[in-house]
Amino acid sequence: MSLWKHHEHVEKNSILLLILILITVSIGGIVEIVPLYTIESTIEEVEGVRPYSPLELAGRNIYIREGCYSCHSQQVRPFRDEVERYGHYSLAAESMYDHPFQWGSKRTGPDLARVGGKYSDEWHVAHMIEPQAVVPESIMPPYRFLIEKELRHDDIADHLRANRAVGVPYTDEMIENAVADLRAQANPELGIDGLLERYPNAHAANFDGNPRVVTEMDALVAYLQILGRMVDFSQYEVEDLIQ
Amino acid sequence: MAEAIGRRETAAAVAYNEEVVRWFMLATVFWGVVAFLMGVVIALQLAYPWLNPGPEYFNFGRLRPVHTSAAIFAFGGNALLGTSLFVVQRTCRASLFGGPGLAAFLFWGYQFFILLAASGYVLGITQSREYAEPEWYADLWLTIIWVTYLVIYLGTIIRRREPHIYVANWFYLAFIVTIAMLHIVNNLAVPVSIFGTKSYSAFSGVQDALTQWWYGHNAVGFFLTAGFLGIMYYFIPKRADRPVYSYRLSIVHFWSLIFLYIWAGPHHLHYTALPEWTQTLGMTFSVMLWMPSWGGMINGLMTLSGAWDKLRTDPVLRFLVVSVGFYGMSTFEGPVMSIRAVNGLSHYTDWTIGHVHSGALGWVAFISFGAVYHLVPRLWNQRELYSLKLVSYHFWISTIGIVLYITSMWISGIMQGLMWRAYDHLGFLQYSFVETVEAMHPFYVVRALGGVLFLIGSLIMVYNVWRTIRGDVSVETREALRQGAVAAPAPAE
Amino acid sequence: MSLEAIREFFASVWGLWLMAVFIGIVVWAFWPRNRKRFEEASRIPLRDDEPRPRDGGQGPDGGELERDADKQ
Ligand code: HEC
Repeated sequence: MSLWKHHEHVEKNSILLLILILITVSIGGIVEIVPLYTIESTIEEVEGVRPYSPLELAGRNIYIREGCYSCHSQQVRPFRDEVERYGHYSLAAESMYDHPFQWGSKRTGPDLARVGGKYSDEWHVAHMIEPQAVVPESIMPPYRFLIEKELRHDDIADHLRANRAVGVPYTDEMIENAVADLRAQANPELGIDGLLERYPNAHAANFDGNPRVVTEMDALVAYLQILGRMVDFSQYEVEDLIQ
Repeated sequence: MAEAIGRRETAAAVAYNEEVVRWFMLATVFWGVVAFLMGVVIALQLAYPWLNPGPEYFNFGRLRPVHTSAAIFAFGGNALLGTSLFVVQRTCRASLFGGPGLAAFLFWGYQFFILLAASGYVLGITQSREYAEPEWYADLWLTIIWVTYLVIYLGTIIRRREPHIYVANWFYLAFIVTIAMLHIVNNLAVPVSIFGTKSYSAFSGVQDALTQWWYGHNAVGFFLTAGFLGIMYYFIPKRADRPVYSYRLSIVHFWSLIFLYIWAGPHHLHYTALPEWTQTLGMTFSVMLWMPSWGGMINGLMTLSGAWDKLRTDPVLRFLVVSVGFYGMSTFEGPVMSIRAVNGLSHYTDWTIGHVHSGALGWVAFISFGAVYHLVPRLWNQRELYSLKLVSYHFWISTIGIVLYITSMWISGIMQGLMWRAYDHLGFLQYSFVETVEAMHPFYVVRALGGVLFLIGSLIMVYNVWRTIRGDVSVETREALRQGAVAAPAPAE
Repeated sequence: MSLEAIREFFASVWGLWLMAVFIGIVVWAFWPRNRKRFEEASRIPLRDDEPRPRDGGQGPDGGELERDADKQ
C-alpha cells in the first residue's frame, strides 16, 4: 500500500504540498482561459472595428482614470429590454482593441456601450460639467475640471507604441501622425482628411467650444461619441434574443 | 477602576516572533477603520451626489477603489498576514524563518504597497481592473513583498518541530501561492514609459475580461475565503478550547475548495460576449462549490457541539462563530446568483453589492474582529480584554449594521433588476433609466446608515484594544474571569 | 486534430480526473487506519500553549538546532 505512504508524504512535505496546490489551481485557468486565445470562434469577424484614434484613446484613459467603469457597464446583453434600451447586444469583436476591457460590473448609471451618437457633443459637455443640470435626478458626480485641464498629449505616440506592443495594429504612419491627428480631431479646421483615412468614422469636432486648446473634455467626449459606432448594425439582424 | 492583572509568560521553548504580529494587528485595526470610513463616504455620495466635491481627487470613481482596496488588502490583508505568521509559528513550534529583520521588511513593505496603491487611486492612477487597480510599479513592489511572505511562511513550515502540518497552514499556503499566480498573470502589462505610471494590459476584450474575472473571483476565493478559513481552523478551536469537529472533513474541505474555486470566475460574465461554454463551465463549478463551502461551515460550527453555552458568555467566540454563519449564508447565495437565469436579473444591480458585503462584513470582518480580540490580550501579555461587554456592544451594533446593509441592497437590487425589464401594457419599456436611479435613493440612505453602525462598532473596538494594551481591565471582565466564563489562560504565578 | 477537438477531449477527461482525485482524497481522509493520526493532528493548536522544556539556545537564530521535519 505504497499509495497510503505516499499520502502521508503529502502533509509532511511542505514543498510537495506547495506544488500540489499550484497544480490544482492552475488547471482551471489553463482549461478555461487558454482556449480563448486559440479558438477562432471566440471573436467573430466583424467589419468596421478599428483601433482608437489618438484623441479617443486619450479620452478612454480619462474614462479609466476617473473610474467611470465603477458606475457604467459597456456590455449590452442579448435581452429584449437591453436591446431596446441600449441597442444591439455587444459583440466580442467590438472590444478586441480594448486594453484593458471596460465591460464593467455595475450599472449605477446606464450602459455606455452604444452611447456614441445618442446625444450631441454639447449635451455631453453640459452633462459632464454638471449632470444634475441636465438630468435633475442624476447621482453622477460632476467633472467640471475636465474643461479647464489641457490634455497632455506630447507623449501620445508612446501610447500608440505601447498599444502596438500588446497587439493593436497601429501602423508606423499612425504613430508618426499621432499628435497631428489628435489636434485635428479636436479642431477640424486643421484638416481631417488624414485622420479620417486612418480612422474611418472618427467624429471630429470642436467638442468643448474652445478651438485654441485641446482639453480633457475634448478627449472624453470624442471617446464617448465613438462607443458602439464602429460597427454598422443596420446590416445585422437582432436575432437570438433571450426572454 | 481598572488595573492590570495577571501578566503571564509566553513562548516557553521557542522564541516566537510576536513583535511583528503585534504590528500587523494594530495595522488591521487601523486600516479597518479607514476602510469602513471610506465605505460610508462613498455610500453617502451615492445617496447625496453633492458630496462629490469639485476637486477631482475625491469623486466617487476615484474613492471607490480606495474603499475596496482598504477593505480587502489593507484590513483583510493585514489580518491575514498577522494571523498567519502567528499561527504558523505556534502550530509548527518554530520561530519565523528569516528572523525579525525579514519579518519587519514584510510588514513595512506591505504598508508601503498600500500607500502606493491608495495614493495612486486618488491621483487617478489605476488600471481599472477591479481589485487589481494598482499600476505596474505598485504591482512589481507587491510581487517582491509577496515572495518575501512566501519565503518566510514556507521557511517556517520547513523548519517546524511538529511533524504534521496543521490544516490551517494548508489554507494559508494555498492563499499565498494562488494569489501570487493570479497577481502576476492578471497584471501583465506594458508600461508606456518606465518614468510614467500608465501601462496597457497585455490582454484585450474577451480574453482580458476572462483573465480579470478569473483573478477577481479567485481573489474572493483565495484571499477572502481560503485565507480566512485558515483563521477559522485555528482560532475557533483555540477559543472554544476543543479540537475542530472533524479534521478529516477539513482535509476534504480544503482540496475540494481549491479544486472548484479556480473555475468559477466566468459566472461574472454571463450573457456577455464570452463563449457560452465558458459561461456554463463557470456556472457548473460555482454551483458545485456550495458543497465544500457548507462542509467547511458545518465543520466550524460543530466544533462548538457540546459547548454552545460558551456563545452566551464569550462575545469573542460569538464573533468567530457568527462569522461562519455568514460564510454559510453567502456561500449559499453565491451559487444561486451564479445560475444564469438568476444572474440575468442580479448582475449589474445592487444585489451583487449586498452579496459581497454579507461576505465582507459578516464573514471576513467578523472573523477578523474575533481574531483581533483573541490575540490582543495574548500578544500584549494581558489576561483578557479590557472589556468583554464592549465586545458585545460591538457585536450587536455591527450585526444590526450588516442586516440594514444587506436587506436594503437585496430590495434595491431586485427592484432595479425588475424595473429595467418591466414593460407597460403597450409593449414599451415602462421605466426610463433615471427613474430606476431615483427609486434607489431610500435604500442608499439605509445602506449608508448600516455602514455608519458598522463604523461605530469598529471605533468601539479601537477603544477596547487601546485600553487592553494599556493594561486596563474593566470590572465586569474581572468578574467574568473570576467565574471562569471565558477561556483565558491561567496566570503565570 | 483541430484545436477545438483537443480542447473538448481535455474538458471531458479533466472532469473524470477531478472526480477520481476527489474520491481518492475522501477515501484517504476517512480511511479507518488514518483516524487516530488525524485526531492527534487536530489537537495541535490546543497544545501550543503548553510549556515546553527549555533546550537552550533555541532563539530565532537557533535554526541549526531545530530539526528539519521535512528531512526525516
Ligand atoms: C456615481 C456613479 C457614476 C459615475 C462615477 C459616473 N456616472 Fe455617468 N451616470 C451615472 C448615472 C446615475 C447616470 C444616469 C443619469 C444621468 O444621465 O446623469 C449617468 C449617465 C451618464 C451618461 C448618459 C448616458 C445615457 O445614455 O443617458 C453618460 C454619457 C455618462 N454618464 C458618462 C460618464 C462618464 C464619462 C463618467 C466618468 C468620467 C461617468 N459617467 C461617471 C452615474 C455615474
